[in-house]
Amino acid sequence: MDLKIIKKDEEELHMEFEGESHTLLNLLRTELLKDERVMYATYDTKFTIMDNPIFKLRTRGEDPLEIMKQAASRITAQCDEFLQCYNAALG
Amino acid sequence: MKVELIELREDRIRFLLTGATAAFANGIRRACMSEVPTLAIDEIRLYDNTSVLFDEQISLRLGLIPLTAEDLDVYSSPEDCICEGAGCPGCRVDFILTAEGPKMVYSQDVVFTDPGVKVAFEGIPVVVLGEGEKLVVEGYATKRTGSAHSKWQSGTTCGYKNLPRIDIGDCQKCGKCVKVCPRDVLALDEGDRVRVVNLLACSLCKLCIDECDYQAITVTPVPDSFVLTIEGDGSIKAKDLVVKAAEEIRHRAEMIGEKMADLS
Repeated sequence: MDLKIIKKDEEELHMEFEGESHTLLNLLRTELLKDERVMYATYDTKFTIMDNPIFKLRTRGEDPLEIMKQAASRITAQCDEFLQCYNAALG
Repeated sequence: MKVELIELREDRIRFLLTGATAAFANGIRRACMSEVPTLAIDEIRLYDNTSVLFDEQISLRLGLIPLTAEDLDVYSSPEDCICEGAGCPGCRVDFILTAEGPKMVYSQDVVFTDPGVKVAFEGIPVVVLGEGEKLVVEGYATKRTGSAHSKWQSGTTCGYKNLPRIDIGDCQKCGKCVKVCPRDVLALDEGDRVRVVNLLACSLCKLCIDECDYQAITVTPVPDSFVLTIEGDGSIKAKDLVVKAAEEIRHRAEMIGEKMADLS
């Protein structure tokens, strides 16, 4: 995965996710929208297959990089919790 | 988060996931299908093909044979290999296939140089050879993910649905809903009242709601409970497939976190 920052200021972040799809980005968006400091979080692919998705995040004055980092760590924690529950269920 | 096992077979797993978002359940489903790497025959060289099938058809059939490896981690995908995609034993598994008619060529006739790599199922027919017909093929398999081509898809039939919640109110004991249900979710008990007997089979089609003249039944999806069904192509056990999918998502989320930390 390669990330390209297209736009970045105090409260806005536009990023290109090379080779990523709904699998991760939908999860990331859902996680970001749970955060009250986020004004909007969305992503769009100009032309499917040919273009990389662009993720757009706007916050209510907080550092978007920090908020994105926290959302990513929440996903990591979710995966850990899932793996733990899953392995326990399989016995 | 809670996981309850419903069904477990070598090639198929069904479990109930509670306390997760739809995005997470969908992430697992999508990752099982397109982000978990597996081996598949990638390029072939035909030395002799006098069978009734065209070369292209033979190559298509060979590509779609599911392959298993004792240890898949010893191989890297061509993009991540130290040879930078040029092709080396680290990212390629060579095979040969020679057959002479009259014979039916099956998947097990494909012989790999690495004894740890085998076809997942024996007895997949490739081509029928008549008297005097010959097939001599050499080539290699590579490790990639389903997002590159469906032949590398290790999860084939993967899906999820919300767990339904069926409430029965003022039942008039007509039994119409029991008859209309295509999956036998409902049944009449001793007092002729309708009862839910097989909740997990319910597909939320809501035919019972339409059929009931007294509006006694409600069917609603439980928003944070999901029934996931994951079926593999035999190249990897279904239970391991789910673990790999979750690890794949975790790895990517971790990478985003690291990149964000680098930038700020």
